Amino acid sequence: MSLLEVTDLCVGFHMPGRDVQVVDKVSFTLEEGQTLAIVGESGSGKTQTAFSIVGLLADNGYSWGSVKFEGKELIGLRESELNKVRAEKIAMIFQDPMTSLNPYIRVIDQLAEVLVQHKGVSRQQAEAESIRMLDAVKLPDGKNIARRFPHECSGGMRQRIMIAMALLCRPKLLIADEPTTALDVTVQAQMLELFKSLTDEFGTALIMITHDLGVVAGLADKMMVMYAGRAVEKGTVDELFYDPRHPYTLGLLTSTPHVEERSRRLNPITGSPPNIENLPRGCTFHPRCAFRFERCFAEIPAIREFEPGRSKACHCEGKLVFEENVA
Amino acid sequence: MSELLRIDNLSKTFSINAGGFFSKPLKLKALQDISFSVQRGETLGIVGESGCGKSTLGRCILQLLKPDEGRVLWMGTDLNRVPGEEMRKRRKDLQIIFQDPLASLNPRMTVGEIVADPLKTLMPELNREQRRQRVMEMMEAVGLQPEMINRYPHEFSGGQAQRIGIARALITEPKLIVCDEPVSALDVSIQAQILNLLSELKDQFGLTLIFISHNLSVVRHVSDRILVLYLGRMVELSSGDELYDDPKHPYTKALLTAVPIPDPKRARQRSIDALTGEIPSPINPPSGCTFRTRCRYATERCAEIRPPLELVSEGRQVACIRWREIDAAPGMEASTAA
Repeated sequence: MSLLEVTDLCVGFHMPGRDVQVVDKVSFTLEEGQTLAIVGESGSGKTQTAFSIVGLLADNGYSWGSVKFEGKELIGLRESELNKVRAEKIAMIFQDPMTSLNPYIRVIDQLAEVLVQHKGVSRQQAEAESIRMLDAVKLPDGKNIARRFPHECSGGMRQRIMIAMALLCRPKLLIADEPTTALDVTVQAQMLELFKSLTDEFGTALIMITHDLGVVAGLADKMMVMYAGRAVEKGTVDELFYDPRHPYTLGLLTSTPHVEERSRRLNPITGSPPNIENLPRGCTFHPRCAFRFERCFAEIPAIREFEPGRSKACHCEGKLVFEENVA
Repeated sequence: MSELLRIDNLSKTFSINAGGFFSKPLKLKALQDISFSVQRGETLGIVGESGCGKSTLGRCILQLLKPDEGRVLWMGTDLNRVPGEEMRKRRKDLQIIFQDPLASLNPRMTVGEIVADPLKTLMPELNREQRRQRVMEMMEAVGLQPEMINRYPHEFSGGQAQRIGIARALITEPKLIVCDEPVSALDVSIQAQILNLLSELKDQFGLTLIFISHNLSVVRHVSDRILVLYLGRMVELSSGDELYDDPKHPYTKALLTAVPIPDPKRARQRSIDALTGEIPSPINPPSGCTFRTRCRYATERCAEIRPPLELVSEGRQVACIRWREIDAAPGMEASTAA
């Protein structure tokens, strides 16, 4: 049994006068201690996928399909039961560390409250444990920082505090939504090292949601690429980076500039992502795809396993041979 | 190549309200002693982390902010001393592209009006028909269909909006464009489109670019020469290839190893030699070398001396008193760290 088994997960939103579906039949599994990266551009549904796993969709959002965590179905679970799972087993870290901490409450109080609430330990124990955790996320002088208010901490410190808070109950699964996007590059490097050591140390499984392929390469074991609400390719990080089989994955790779080499031209994907409310017929990627043929205009490619452990949603067969596209 | 722009000992300080009604305002030294030149036809990249003064520098060059000290020499004329009316005329040579494409477009104007807007003040001699003609040409140059001329900004995606911003900057036929984080708000696939567009336009119109970004991969991709800033000071100035292949300043070295590489095998091999700590507050910067609080090579002398810019080789400068020692002993890194 996998730690997390997501099958045909869909997410929709009630909008005035209409319903919009933003995630369409996403499936994946995650084992203990593994890191999965969900990669996609804005509007691809990567964040909503993660939010629906923990039942944190906005009020007008709803999800269906199946999310099994340790064999237990999470979709349709009552809020009180879900709260228990969320606190003790699954934790989440958000992009903006300032808005996710309460500005009126000292760091130590925000942390200790979690333990008092969920583990029922005494206030004293909770504080001691909180300070231990602040040290574990390598905050210099955790004791001192614990007494501060969030605004007295820098962005990197706040993100570490968020991580400490998420880890307090020793969750089995940590979901991080663009955790380093708002940080400077030297601080980002520190955070990525921290994530790596934490997954090793605590055996926590990690779902990392990001648009940055550089972040994925150094951190993740598996990766899932999403486009317009669907998973378009899944596999190990090495498979997707060195042998991408979906034209969109390939396009993401060829449009990412590389700090170690100065190539003359990037090969961008032409056009822009579709409006989720007005998706093109057939494969949603076909208007931007360099490999399209007749079938792509009419028929939506289902995601299928083409090699053990690797799947893609594309009508093309075999390896993609990339011809310099003169965009 | 000839020199188009020269910055001489430029400094800029902001006063910040300390909070209390009667308290003395704090001084934030955003830029100190910045000197460099830009050659006609090149792309100069300016990199640094938040608060390093890169955007302030861009704005001082364009005289959107008045520098406190130093000179901005544009083809030999000090722009700081040019009277307002005269400066307005010169603005057609100096344009800017902003980070947030949608926020920098007036939502109540059509695309045609936005792109034509600079012409009204900067080139009033053109008549309506000529203006329209030029707008069409520019829209085509940046890859927008001419039919879009009557649409409003909200109808465009981020990438298209950035194209509108570029068309607006290009329409006065500027010589220099300051690009202030022009692709940071865009998705990867769109970012690559805009980067390619900028390099095409640069060749087509013979532009000189100052490209400001926090993203070192992007800067490397577009720039001929690169200026690295840290807390308002110049850290290193060098050609792009030299900087990336053989960085001299400890900060540049650390920055480069911190950039995530989109290549799993390389990423796993690479030991990230992460800098400890974070950028100090520019209101109360460290004495001596501002980088010393995070530098593994820092000695007592670094706290006493403000490192001057030293010439490493032709066109290459670095502000570190120990760069020669560090360069001579590559193994020093490990021993000092241990």
